[in-house]
Amino acid sequence: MQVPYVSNESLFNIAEKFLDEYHNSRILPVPIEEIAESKLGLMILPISKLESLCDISGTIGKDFNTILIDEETYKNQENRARFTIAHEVGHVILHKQLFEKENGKYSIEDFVRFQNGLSSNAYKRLEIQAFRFGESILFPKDKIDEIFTSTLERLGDINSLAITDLEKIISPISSKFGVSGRATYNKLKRDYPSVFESLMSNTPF
Amino acid sequence: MPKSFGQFIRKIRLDKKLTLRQFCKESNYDIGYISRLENEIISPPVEEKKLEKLAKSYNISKKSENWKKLKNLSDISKRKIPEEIDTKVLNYLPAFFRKASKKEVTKKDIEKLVKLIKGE
Repeated sequence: MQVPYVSNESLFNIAEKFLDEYHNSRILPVPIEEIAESKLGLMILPISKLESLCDISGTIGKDFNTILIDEETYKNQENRARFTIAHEVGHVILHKQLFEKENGKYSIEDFVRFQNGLSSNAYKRLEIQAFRFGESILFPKDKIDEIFTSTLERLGDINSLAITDLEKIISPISSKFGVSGRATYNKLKRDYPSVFESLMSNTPF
Repeated sequence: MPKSFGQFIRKIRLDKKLTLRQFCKESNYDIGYISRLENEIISPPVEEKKLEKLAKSYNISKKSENWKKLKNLSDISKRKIPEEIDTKVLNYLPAFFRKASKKEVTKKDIEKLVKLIKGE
């Protein structure tokens, strides 16, 4: 299966259009479960031990209508589950048509063959695209800029902050956006590298 | 108009503007149970008392039109043969399946996954 390249900018624009259509108010946290279930008509199917026994935290069913998610994560780690759901919504928006071209009804054997025939580059591309899309809808651009700036301002002079202050930056942002601390850290580190460089340079080792 | 038990209860829940998570929190029903009922992987409760209890959590009273529909769809759903459920479960297999370990997917992995989906 060929997976076309989509630039980060295009993915970001697709995500913004998605928000315009389904959550124009951009009120935080973005109600991704409500959007997935009510507006997109997707089914959520929590599966117990999906992660511990099958090594996957979430996935979109091949009907592109059902999100399978690790039940323990869904019940106990809501923020992480939200990220997984946003990611799977990304597959629906970006890859449904691509997949429909390649697949019809098939047996378990055909299914195994198809999955193992998917090159690692194609798979990587699918996952990166869904990841960027999911991240962009949970962190609407104008909101993350605004809240990151105001959080830093509240903490005082950036030059007085060190890497040990990271928790004070990440924690309020993570709870406002309803995203895990780890996902928030990754997003901020990628989008605001100069702030992180500053934190590092103010940190005595 | 929903044609099956699962579609019917899902529609009522969404009409009440409740996500699966919110509904289960309010009603105290297990998420795995309600999602499998909605996805028609398991059959509705056989005992009428249990069906009544379930109906109550959707605000469906025994005298209402919705109860008649629910009961009717539940009777139809109970007659489903296991093969129909097996076919349905195949649709829920992942579109893109890679294990975090990046090892090749095997038939055994899929059979294990099918069992988990069915809640076995």
